[in-house]
Amino acid sequence: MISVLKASANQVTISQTEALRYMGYGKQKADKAVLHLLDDCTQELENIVSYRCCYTKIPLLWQEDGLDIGFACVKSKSLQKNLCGCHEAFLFAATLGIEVDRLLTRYAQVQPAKGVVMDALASAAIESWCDLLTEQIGAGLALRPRFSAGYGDLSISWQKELLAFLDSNRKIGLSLTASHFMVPTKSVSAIIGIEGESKTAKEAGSRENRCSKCGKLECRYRRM
Amino acid sequence: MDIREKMKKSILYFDGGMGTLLQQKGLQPGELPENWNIEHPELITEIHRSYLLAGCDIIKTNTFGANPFKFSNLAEIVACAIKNAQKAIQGFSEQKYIALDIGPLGKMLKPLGDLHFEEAVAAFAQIIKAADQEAIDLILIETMNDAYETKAAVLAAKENSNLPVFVTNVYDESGKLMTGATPAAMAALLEGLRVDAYGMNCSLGPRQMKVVAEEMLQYSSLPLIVSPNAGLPRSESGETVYEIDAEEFSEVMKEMVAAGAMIVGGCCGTNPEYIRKTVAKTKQYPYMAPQKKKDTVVSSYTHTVTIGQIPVLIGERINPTGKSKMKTALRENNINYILEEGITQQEKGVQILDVNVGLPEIDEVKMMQKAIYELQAVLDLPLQIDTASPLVMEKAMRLYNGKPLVNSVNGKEESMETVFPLVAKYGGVIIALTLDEKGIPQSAAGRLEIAEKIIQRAAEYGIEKKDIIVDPLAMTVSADSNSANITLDTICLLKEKLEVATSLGVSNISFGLPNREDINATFFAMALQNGLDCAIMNPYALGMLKAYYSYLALRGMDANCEQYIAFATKYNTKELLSGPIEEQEKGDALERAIEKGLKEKAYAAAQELLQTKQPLEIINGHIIPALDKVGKGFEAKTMFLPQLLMSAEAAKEAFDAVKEQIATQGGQNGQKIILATVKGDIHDIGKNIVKVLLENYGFTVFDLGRDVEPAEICRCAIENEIHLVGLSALMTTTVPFMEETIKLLRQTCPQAKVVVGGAVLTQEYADMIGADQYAKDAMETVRYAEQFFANAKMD
Repeated sequence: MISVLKASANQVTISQTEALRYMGYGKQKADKAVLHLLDDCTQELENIVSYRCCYTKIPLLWQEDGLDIGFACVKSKSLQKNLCGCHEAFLFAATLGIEVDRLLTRYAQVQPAKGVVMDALASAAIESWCDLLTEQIGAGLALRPRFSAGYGDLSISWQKELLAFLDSNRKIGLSLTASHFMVPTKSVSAIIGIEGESKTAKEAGSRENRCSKCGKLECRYRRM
Repeated sequence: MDIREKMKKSILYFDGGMGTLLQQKGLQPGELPENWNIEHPELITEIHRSYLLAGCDIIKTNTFGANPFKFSNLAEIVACAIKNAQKAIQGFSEQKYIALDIGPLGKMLKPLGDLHFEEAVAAFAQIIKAADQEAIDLILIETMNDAYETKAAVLAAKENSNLPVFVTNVYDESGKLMTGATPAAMAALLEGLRVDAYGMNCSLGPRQMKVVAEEMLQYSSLPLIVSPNAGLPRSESGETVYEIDAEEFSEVMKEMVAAGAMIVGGCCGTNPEYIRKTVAKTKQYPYMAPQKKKDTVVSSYTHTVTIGQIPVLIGERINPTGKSKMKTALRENNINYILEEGITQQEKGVQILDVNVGLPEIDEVKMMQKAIYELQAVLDLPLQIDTASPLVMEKAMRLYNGKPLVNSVNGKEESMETVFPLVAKYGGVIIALTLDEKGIPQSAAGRLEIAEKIIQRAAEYGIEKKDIIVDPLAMTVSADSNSANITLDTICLLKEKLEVATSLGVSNISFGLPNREDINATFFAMALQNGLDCAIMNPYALGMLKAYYSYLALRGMDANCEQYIAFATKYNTKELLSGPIEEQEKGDALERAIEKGLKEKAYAAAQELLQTKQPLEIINGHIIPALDKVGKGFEAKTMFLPQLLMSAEAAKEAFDAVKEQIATQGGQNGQKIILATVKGDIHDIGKNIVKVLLENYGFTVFDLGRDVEPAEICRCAIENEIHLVGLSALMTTTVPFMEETIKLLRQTCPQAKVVVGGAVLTQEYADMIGADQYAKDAMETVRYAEQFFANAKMD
């Protein structure tokens, strides 16, 4: 069964620090004008954002030639490494809604500075939403870091099967273009391995931990 | 009995959910239910029959996901599905109906997604053409969560069949479609498109859906369809169960029917028992004919604007007449300028935007389509399609996402014959000008007569009076001192005798006079007092806005004078902001304004400098050095992207001030660059940033947008003798299109060099696909362009 989860704007805290990181600020402080812009954008974004997610829990069947996840048999060393030892996983797709795309398009065209800030903020928002929904659906469980199509050797095209399986277009209005872009653009789809019951459930998905486990060493957003 | 007749007399019942029942019969997760039409026809027929036995009148074919993107054997699937349904309805004494079921295509339409509107129409048309029209009774377009896709499906149905068309959309808890449309907006769109019945299905349980249904009943003039889910699903030991049982479901459905929903059924989680109980409890209810609504309504993809209550402002700035900057923008295909005009007018408070892009030297059809398309992507105001060409009018109405205002028809037979069929097909509210073959009558009675004639002729096309707004024409008072009187009297007559909505192009009244705004504002106030419902006007004209907001406040149309106060406060601060800058900031004020990203100050400082300095001196001595300073800061990582862009925007304001003085067009250095996000790629934030900076440095940028065909890029490069092309791509999946574009450029315009960038690009990639240069960010692109043209000069 595919379940749908929603959240209102006040349930999700969008991290401005994260947004600044996406804009290239490392340890440097942003000036007043940019901080002001961030506040403006936060308010505008929260007015129109529509946090939605559809998810399901699936059994993982480890086969000789790959990982059987019901609707597909996946052959990916990176994913297998990520899920190693797990016998169940969550599949989910989450989005901020199409109105955010309109907002981004609008500012990118006529007010690029605001467009850049809004874009970074929306990226931070979808991350926060994923963290929150993971916390909710995985309450009491120890979870692996989220793993998405396009990570490691898991082909980006796998996303097509995943979203079809989750019926994401119907459930949350999330579709895929021919070039595998998700629409709405601020969306995430992923698989999360379930290790079992947990005492420290939140640890597994924390941001610092995610970076240290990722193999993309040259990433400009990597946390030291 | 034809279903069109039946639905005028009795309550009709749809069947319930198919998916849950198929799963019970063994459909596996991920397996496509439509294939069962061929693999297990007897099971599909059995499900249909179980619903018919429960008492439903209409069964939906098992074709929800049957579309050409999913099935190569579409025709076979549709044919088998219809056969299964036909088998099921045999042997019933009462008449049963078969609905060809059409669900969403699973793709988002352009410009936000990648499916072109016409491709969507064609895909839906394929499904409809695959169906034997004799074997089905109606077309049901269901579970649509996007207004635009709904329109594409309805057009396909109308263009390929004469069968009745029913539509149900998916509303969520907020009472809107996922893409933002309210029930009122969908009512306007669907009644405009002349569907036979519409309503809602899926997503909500009956309780929540009842709220939306009741809202819809306030706007709808057609039978309302309601098919809720059995509440929310949950998993119980591997089984999916729904929270609402047949008893509770049918209790709420009873309330819905009592409230006026005359076509009811079920969606996810419902089974024959839900329908049986619903039928049993409501069959004896009296039939209620839908109430005809009389409001004049236009809509965008999110909301409606009603004309005839509080006067409505229609922004007139997207129109080249008398506007040299707009003319230049149209000639240069500068869509950005149009978007900026649209957004600024929205910020000034207009509720509808007029769009007129007619210039003899450009392709008006193409430009109008592009303008409509792009405006719809960035703002949610209803648009007024304003053109003299019937062809442009049709193309624009077709592509418009909502029920447009259309400008215009007049009393000439030829005009009515061409325009009315378009309104009857696509829906819309039409502005009717009171002139005909004999010209413009010189009396109010004469203009009234033409209005009457137009309304009568429209009725023959099935266009109701509520979809007509009469414009009694404002003619300049400088040529005839009685002209304003005639217009004002006509407004009174129209309201009194015909009870029709009215509109005016207000500023025509002052043509040829000095201080036009004074006359315009006073005339506007007089017309409002006489009953004017909407005005095509310039929202930058403060006098007009003052008259408007004062009128609303004085006539009790502005509770607590809130709008007036908000308006008055705003323009006062605006005047302060654009006032002279403080004394001690002079000298390097412009540089500092640019560095700090202060737009108003940059503009004012440039104007100040223009009194003592030559334009070029300001550009080279102030603007460029300030930009360079910020650019170097960015390269040294002491400044960041938002600041870089804020400075760029401030510099643009300063450039604008200077340009007004020297009236140059395009860039300053005469060097031309094409920018495009390649085919398949819909992210263009990076490309836009590069564009802003290049323009700042004086380059003329041909911005071809996103998802651009290689051939389009080559065509532009050849036509404009371009020597430098910038291409952007975000994902590995679109890099092949970048390569294809480069290859085609090498063949067709070998003089052009190519610089590439974007999130996924690296030097390695750039080399692999044969680009001339890789630029890691916007500043690097600027530096490369400068160097490139400097080298070219030396050669």
